[in-house]
This record gives sequence, structure tokens and C-alpha cells, in this order.
Amino acid sequence: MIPASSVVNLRLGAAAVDCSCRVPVLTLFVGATMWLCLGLLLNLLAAIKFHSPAFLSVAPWQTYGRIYPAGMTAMLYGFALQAGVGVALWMIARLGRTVLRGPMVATIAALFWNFAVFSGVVAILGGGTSGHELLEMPVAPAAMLFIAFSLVALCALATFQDRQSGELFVSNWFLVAALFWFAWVYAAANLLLQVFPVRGVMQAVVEWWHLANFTTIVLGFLGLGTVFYFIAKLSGRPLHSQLLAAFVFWSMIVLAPWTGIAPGTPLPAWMPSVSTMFAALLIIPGLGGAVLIFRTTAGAPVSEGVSMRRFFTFGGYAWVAWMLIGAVVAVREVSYLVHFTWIVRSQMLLLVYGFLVMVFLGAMAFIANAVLGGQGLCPRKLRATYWLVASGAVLGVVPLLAGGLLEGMAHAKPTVDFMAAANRALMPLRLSTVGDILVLLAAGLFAWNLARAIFTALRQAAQPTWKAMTREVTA
Amino acid sequence: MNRGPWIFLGALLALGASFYGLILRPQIALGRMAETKTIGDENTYPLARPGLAAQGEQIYRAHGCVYCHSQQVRPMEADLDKYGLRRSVASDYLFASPAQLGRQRMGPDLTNIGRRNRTAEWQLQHLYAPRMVSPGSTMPPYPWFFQVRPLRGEPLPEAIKLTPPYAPPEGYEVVPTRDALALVAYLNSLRVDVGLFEAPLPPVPTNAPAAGTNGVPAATNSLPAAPAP
Repeated sequence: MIPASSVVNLRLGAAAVDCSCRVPVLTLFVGATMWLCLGLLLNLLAAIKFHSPAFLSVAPWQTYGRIYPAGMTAMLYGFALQAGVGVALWMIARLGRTVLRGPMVATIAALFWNFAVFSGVVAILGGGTSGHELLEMPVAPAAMLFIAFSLVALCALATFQDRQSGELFVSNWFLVAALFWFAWVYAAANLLLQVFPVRGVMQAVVEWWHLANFTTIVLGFLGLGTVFYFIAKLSGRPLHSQLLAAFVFWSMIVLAPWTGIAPGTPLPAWMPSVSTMFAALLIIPGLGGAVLIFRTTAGAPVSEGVSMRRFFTFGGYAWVAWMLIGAVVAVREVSYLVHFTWIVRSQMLLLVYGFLVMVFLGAMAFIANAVLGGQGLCPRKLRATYWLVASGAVLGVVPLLAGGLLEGMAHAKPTVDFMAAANRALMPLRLSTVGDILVLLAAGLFAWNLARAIFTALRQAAQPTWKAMTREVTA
Repeated sequence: MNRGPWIFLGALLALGASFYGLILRPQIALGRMAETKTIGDENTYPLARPGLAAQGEQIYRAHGCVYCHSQQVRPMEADLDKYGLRRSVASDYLFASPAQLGRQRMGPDLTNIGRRNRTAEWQLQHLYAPRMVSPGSTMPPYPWFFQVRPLRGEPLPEAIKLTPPYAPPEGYEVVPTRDALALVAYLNSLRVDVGLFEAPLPPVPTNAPAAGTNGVPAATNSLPAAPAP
């Protein structure tokens, strides 16, 4: 005997699922888009300081050491995590063929989330940083962010529990793991650094452990789950191999949490050694992901979905490149050469521009179209957004990779003094600023596109009411 | 493939293992670390920073100096040549709060900035106008650490000397604030020049002119350990 409620749910069409997601998911997306624009703007201001160090140096909040972490906080906690969680909510509901649980809770939590990031960014600009990379937010905003995240994640888990389809698509593994991971890693790191601070060098260990887990597992899995879902959907065929995807998942969660400690750090020698070995082994899931993306998309019939699919193929390959570069620079000899150089930054930009911005802008556009109904986002502007992000990511990352290598080789020579070596990266660095500008333009264009689509939908929804009201008045 | 509970259990084990291996176990070992004795003269190491330098550490944190300056000497030739007498070890950071090892060097490593014979005057000039003392530097200036004040008679003794185009207009002087002095006190407290059991100083040939490649007199094992700050 099947309970009556599940009979109703089984008949739920995609439209009903989308309808239940509309308000919370769009709230998360609007917030994410605004933080992306603001984060990229701060990032650009930070980059300009390498063209002209005296630019914007009147007040303390304008200094590089505050603008840069504020921008990264906005981009990673405001944009990437928020957009990723919004995409996850929708995908979990869609894949489970069930309505979203607690849409009201998720919406209110999303508002709190944005307030938390706002107060965190303001605190960093005001000098209240904790001093730990990607954990700069002071205790109060961090706690607020954690609570807001937990509420949204609970809605996602309740929806996941409600799933009506027996099949558990592999994307769900990645998404649910990412939610669980963030709650643990973020809470543990903040407790151990800000509430009950550990002493001395252990602070750096906690910071790097969080950094590795946050980037590779939390953000990586949110993005990867999205990529696997959309490349299959938009290619009109199932994912090449569920088994290979499961292998990528398991190898990632076993290996990646141990990475992040660079060779030569002032720690017991086994720690960087283990970290290096596991980071180098990450080359295997990286290649597995590449095979999955290639075999799923190559030769797929060109359908109407193909113009959206490129967001996810580009993003997917950017993830592969990020994994491979990460594996190479973890090796002791390479790390001694390039750690501390601009290569560290180029890896971050590859993750953010090439993977996260690309994938989540594509996913947000697709989902906004689905939940808004009607016209949705302008496809021509979306195509322009794609090209701007793609060229921005390449121009932002490649020069920094080359510059970092040049700089590292110069630093290794005892005869070259610091400034001469550092200045070898200056030209590539300035070139990469063009990439920053292009991605900022893409974000601005996307924000305009999304805002217009939402306003159009709102106006259309309001029109019958408005007509009825005016009829009453004129009658 | 509906294996939800197994996936959850697997994820729990994977994350738990890394939390135990990289955080809990090392914390049990490193968290109990206390001051040690230096080699040779058996001084206590490290010493806590005195008040002004400790305040400077918070200014260093608040301004995000760590995004451009590491404090970490790796056991490799180039690092040892340019930044340190020996590699950094866990003991060196015992009183660092927060520990700011850094991940990038857009500016030089600061592990031993206190040993580099920079005067307080040089540090202050460098903070006010980096390119005046270090042409071509990409370091941003920090004018809010200073007050530009009208001259009243003789310049104050603490006013910093500046050359055009960085000098203030005629009849004005540039005076460091307490924040600037605290930051400089912190920078001067950064020195790792004593040998420890796990990181001895390299032997220095006797009778040779003791000079490092960066113009810093190399320390010897018998050198009385300078009080940290």
C-alpha cells in the first residue's frame, strides 16, 4: 500500500518542484550575484595596487591587506558557497522528484546569510580580521554564517530524505557530502582558531586544513555535482559511467582532506610528507573527472541545450586543470620552486574564475529560467557572459602561472635579490588584471540579465492583479 | 545506487580520519609544547613579546600584512641564503598570536627582519613612503600611521626625515603615531637567530669575516642569544 501523499508526490511534475524552489533559490541567487560583483570589484582594486601601489591609500580600509581578503570572502562565502547551496537545493529537489522542504526557513536563512557576509566583509575592511586565510571573518559573522548555512542545509537534507525516486544520482552524493563537510570543517576551524585558539604553529595547521577541505571538497564538490548533472542533462544522455563518478567521489574524500600542508613547513616532517603524497595522488580523480566529462559530452547530439552546456564543460575542464596543477605543485621539488610565488594566486583564480564562476553562472541561469518560467534570461547576453568569463579566466590564470614560474626560478638563484626576482612577475601580473576586468564585466552583465528576468516575471505576475484593480477603479 | 547511509558513513570516516590525523593528534603533541633551551648558552626560548611589540602584532594582523609577507624559512638553499640562518621550526611560533606563516611572498619573508640592521627610522620611512627607501617597491604606503602636522618651532625629535617628492609641504612635519611605533617594535622583534636542538645554527668557520650574503653579520653558536625583541 503506497501512502496517499507519495502518490501525489510521484505525479509531481518538474513545474511543481520548480515552483516550490522559486523564492528561496532566487533569494540565494540574487545574493550570490551581488557578492560576486562586489568581490570581483574589490579583487580588481587589489590588483590595481600592483600597477600603482599608491592607488587608493588614504584610509586604512583601502589597503591591499584588507581589500584582498574582503574580496575573497565576498567571492567564496558570498558568491560561490551561496550559489552552490542554492543550486544544490534545486538539484536535490529535482533529482528527488519532490517539493523543497521548508522554503520559508531557507529564504529567511538566505537573508541572514547575506547579512553575515556583509558584516564579515565590513569587519575585515575595518581591521577585525582573524588573520587566517579564508577564515578572516570574526566570530560573530562566522557564527551567523554557520547558523544560516545549517538552516539551508537542513532544508536540503529534509528534501533529500523525502526523495521519491529510488535511484540516487551520483550528483547527490557530491552535494550532500559538501553540505556535511562544510558544517564540520567551518565549525571546527573557527572553534579552534577563534573561540578556543590552539597555540602557535597549530593555528597554521588548522588554517591550511580548512583551506584544503573548503576548496577541494566543499566548493569542489558543489561545483562537480553541478557539472555532472548538467553535462548529462544538456547532452541528452546519461553520465558516461556512474561507477567512475563514484570512484572520483571516494578517492577525493579519502585523499583531499589530507592535503594543504606545503613541503618545508615548520612541522613534524611526516605532516607535509603525507600531505604531498595525497595531493600528488589527486591526479587520479582529476583524470577520472576528465574522462567522465569527455565521454559524456563528446559527440553528443547538438541540441538546444548545447549553448548552455559549454558553461559546464569549460568549468569541468578548469576543475581538471586545477586538480592537475595542484598535484604537480605539491611535489617537493616543484613546491620549493614555486610555493610563495604568484602560482599560488593563479591556482586560486583558476578555481574561482574558471570553475566556480563559470559553473555557477551557468547553473544559476538555467535554474532561474526554470523557476521563473516565461522568457527568462536573455540567451545572447548569456553567450556574451560565457565568452567574457572564458577569456577572463584564461587571461587571468595563464600569465600568473608563467609569471610565478619565472619569479620562482629567479628566487632560487642566490645572486638575484628579492626585488629583481619579484619584478619578473610584474608584467604577467599586469596582463592578468585584464582577466580580472573581463570576469567583472561578465558578472555585471549576468547581474543585469538576472535582474531583468526577475523584474519581467514579477511584472507579468502582477499584471492580472493590476488590471483587476484598475478595472475596479474605472468601473 | 541508493546507498545513502553507506555514503554518509564513508564521508564521516574520511573526514574524521583527517581531522584526527592532521588536527587532533598533532594538537596533542604540539599543543603541549613549552619553551625550550637554546643550544650552548641554555637560554629560554622563545620569549613572549613585550607590550608594544605585542600591540604591533595585532596591527600587522589587522592590516593583512600576511597576504604579502611570509614568516617561514624552508630548509632549502635559497631561503637559507636570503632569509634565515636556519630553517623555521614549530618552537619559533610558540607565542605568535595569531601565527601568520603566510602563503605568498609579494614582499620578502620577514622571519628575520629584526636582524637585518634596519633602523626604526628606516622602517618608519618605509611605511610612509616605501619607494623613497626601496625604489620600485610594490608595497603600498601607510599614511594613516602618521600625522602631518604644522611645524611649531623646531621639528619634533620623532618626526621622520623625508626627501622630495615624499616630503611634506614647507612648514609641516610627519610624526609617527603609536600604531606605527608598535608595528616597528613588532618588526624588530622578528628574529630567529638562536640554535635549537631540532634546528642548530650552521657551523661558522672561525677567523673568517662573519658576513652573510645579505650583509647581515652571521651569528655564531657561542653568540649570546639576543633577547628576542
